[in-house]
Amino acid sequence: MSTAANRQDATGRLLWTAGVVAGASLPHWPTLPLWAPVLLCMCIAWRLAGDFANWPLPNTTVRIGLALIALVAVLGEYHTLNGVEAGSALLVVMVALKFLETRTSRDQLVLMIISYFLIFAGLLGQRSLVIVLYLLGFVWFTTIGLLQLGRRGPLLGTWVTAKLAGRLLLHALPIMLVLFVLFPRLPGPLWALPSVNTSGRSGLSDTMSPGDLTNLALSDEVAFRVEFHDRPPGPSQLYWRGPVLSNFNGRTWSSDGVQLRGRIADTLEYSGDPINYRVMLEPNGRRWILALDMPAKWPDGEGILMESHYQLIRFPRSIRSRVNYELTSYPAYHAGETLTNAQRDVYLALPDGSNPRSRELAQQWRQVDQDPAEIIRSALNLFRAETFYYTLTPPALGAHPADEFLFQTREGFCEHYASAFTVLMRAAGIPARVVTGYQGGELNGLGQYYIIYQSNAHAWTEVWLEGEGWVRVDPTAAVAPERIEFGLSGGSLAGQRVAGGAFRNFVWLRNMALAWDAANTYWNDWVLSYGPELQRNILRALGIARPHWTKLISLTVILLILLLGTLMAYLAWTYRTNRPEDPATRYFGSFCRKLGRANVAPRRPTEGPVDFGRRAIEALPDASVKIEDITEAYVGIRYEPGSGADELERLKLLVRSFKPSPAT
Amino acid sequence: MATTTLRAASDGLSNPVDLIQPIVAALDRIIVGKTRELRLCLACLLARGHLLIEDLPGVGKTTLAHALAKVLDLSYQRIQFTSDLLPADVIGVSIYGRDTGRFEFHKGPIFSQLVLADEINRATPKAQSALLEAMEERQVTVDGNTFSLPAPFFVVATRNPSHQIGTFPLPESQLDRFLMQITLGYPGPAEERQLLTSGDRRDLVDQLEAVLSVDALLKLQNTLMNIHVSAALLDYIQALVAYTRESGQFSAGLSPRAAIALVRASQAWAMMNGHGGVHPEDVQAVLPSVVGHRLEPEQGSDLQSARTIGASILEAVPVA
Repeated sequence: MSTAANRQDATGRLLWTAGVVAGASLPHWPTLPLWAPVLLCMCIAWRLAGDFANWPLPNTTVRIGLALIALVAVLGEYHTLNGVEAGSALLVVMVALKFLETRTSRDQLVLMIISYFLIFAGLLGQRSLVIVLYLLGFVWFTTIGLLQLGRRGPLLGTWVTAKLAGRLLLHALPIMLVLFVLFPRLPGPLWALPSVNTSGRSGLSDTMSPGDLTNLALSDEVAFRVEFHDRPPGPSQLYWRGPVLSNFNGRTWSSDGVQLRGRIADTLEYSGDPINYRVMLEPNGRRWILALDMPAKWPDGEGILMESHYQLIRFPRSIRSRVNYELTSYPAYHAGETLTNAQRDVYLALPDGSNPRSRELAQQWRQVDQDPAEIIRSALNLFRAETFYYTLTPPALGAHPADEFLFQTREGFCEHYASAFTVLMRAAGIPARVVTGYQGGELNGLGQYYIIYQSNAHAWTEVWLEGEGWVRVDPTAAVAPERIEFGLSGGSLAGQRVAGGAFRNFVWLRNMALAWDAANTYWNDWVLSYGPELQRNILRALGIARPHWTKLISLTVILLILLLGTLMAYLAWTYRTNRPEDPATRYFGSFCRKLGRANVAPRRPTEGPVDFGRRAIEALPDASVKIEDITEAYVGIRYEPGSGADELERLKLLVRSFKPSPAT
Repeated sequence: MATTTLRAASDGLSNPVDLIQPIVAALDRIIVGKTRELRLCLACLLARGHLLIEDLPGVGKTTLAHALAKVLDLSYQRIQFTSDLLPADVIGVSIYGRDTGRFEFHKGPIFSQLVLADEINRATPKAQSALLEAMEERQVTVDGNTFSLPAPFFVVATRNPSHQIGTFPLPESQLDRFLMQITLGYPGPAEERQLLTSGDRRDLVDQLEAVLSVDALLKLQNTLMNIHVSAALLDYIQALVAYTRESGQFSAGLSPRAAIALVRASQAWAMMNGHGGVHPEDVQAVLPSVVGHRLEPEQGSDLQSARTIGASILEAVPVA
């Protein structure tokens, strides 16, 4: 082999190592301080320049100095070396410096092994489907690199090695599945990551001013997904209850404080058929669990409570990672609570001097007819009869938003209608409040579940009627009934930019987006949320009723032993059928090992036996006769015609009596 | 001395090594310092193959062929391939005989026991294929009449490195018909000095005497088939062939014909070394010459010469 070819191989190995190190650390880059990836790139570039352009590489002093600086920098950044983020940063930085000093293939192998750790550490931070697919692919890539580095001689063809690496990983697949299914699960995610930042997400808030929901309507983010276990209810029933807002300062609605109730109010009566469903909440940074109006059952022991306005909340932990809940709701209900005088005051309060024209109009209605039902009808008729527009681009409103909206602009989004309607009700003496939440949802036909986007955010009104309690009135439905029936994209906002509007014009693109969403949902559902409960269910289906963790561990170990045993038996069997163990080869192998112990460089697998014998004689001239005898006997048996059991016996004895004294 | 050797050969019992050694010794005096290449050349002849020599002009290709013919007492013809060479110039032509009133076939230069096809890649593909077909069939068919070629029939073809101007590259299918390709290369300094000081090569070749009879050579060719090839060795050869097909280093792997060629050449080498059966070392000795011209390294591979191709295969496949 020429030295040029050797050099080229060495470069190939270095490039493989560089590729693996860079790729394995890539998922960490977004969470690292900027200097860490920069350091990594510089180290890789420097080392490669050393190989390609003969740049001088740093000496020991410089390397130790760099390592110390990097350590201090990590400490300065995180004030600790503990924890996922600081640990990952340290790992990346040290990998960078290690790469700078790679000389031997052993260094490169060490880097490859560390890269597996880096890949694994990548999963500690983020576990989205994209990242996992990338990392799975990269495990494959790293294994290819490991195979390339692990052999002598020239590099193999990449595709051949890729197939081999793929086969190796497939061998590991059953082991992975056993460990995944059976390994005892702890409640909650395996690594609690308080630092994962979700508070910046947009979503509902506990106040509502004109324009708030309009902004949400432009967001394509998913708020949550819902899977109905039976027939899904019609779109006009899909009111997802969120925060209830009762305090009004003339412009902004806000919550009047939350009273925890813990159990269902006695005054709440359900009727009709229950709807069972599962809500898969995206992190919202709040405690709210969006449930179909009106929730009746929720899982015990998860800290879920219903507060005094019938909103489900989780206490005390806010929702910072994806969670799934099994819920039951009844679309038909009767919230017949009675109001105390203090409560009445809260639900009738309007700030002095605000929105005078609206109040005047409501007073007129009240004088015509005292019946609240009649007043509500008058208000809804106002929205229907006059030229109100449902729009995503309403004009800005001033000091008296209800007045301006009702009498001047007459263009608004759902929060304008809900707000104005509630003001009218209160002015007419009907206790009323604003309920925010989501309405509708998009059916993902691939996964048979609904996706509720932030753009589904909605606001409506609840009025309190004597003898009936709280009743939902949605003024938006009076203006734009298609918004309730078909959602935002239903055409009521033709020509306006709605979230996902561009997608909706290209059916296939939309379908792809839905397919990707379905894949992600299954991933979240079956892999990420695979916790103690799901494990218990699966084990029960497998016939293991009450798994104790010791039982699980022993089961895992037994299965692993069985799997590995099967694999080994399979490999041994294929090996045997391919080349039956030849006794002569076995004796010769023992002879080679004896020579190896006598300081003869071991026989390479590609070295012919006679060549090896010649080499051994050069190293051990004293034993030349014996070595020659044994080599000749072996070659005679294995490669020449007409030898029988006698020769084999002779070879056996020769090898047994061969005791070389070590070469000096 | 020559007569004793001839007698020894004719009784058919003597050791092939004893018969072959004098040939190598005689040739070694003409082509100095190229013992290994000379032995490969003989192995090729004994395995009934044909030899391709790729080299620069002037390193002794013609001299080698001529000396071989003299030493083995073979009839010898040289065909200089040029771009205007016609197939008839190689195999012969039928001419109307005025006296006999019939067409008579006048045999071409190919009807010799040793044919030197010089600079084969300077001729057009048509002329090349006339030679190559004759090599494969060991007979020539002209106007419906078939003429057997003499036995032994050994073609030594030379080609210039294909990057030289005015060459027609030989297609892979035709390269496959040559059992081996060797390269003589420049002599070492000491050998070159010897070449410069000793007499004219042509005179030396003319002075050569036959050291082996044609009968003995044919007998050796037959003996070769009896050289034992063990199952273990066939495993090794199959592993080598499989590597060329599966490693991705080559645009196409070795053909079954090449595998057979490898067995034959290894048998020849084993016989020349007095082995009763083929040893892995015999395979390793001939492999670079047998596979070098048959394998095309994949694009971007760093394998260049036949030698590095062979070495890379031997380095990758364990001995069985």
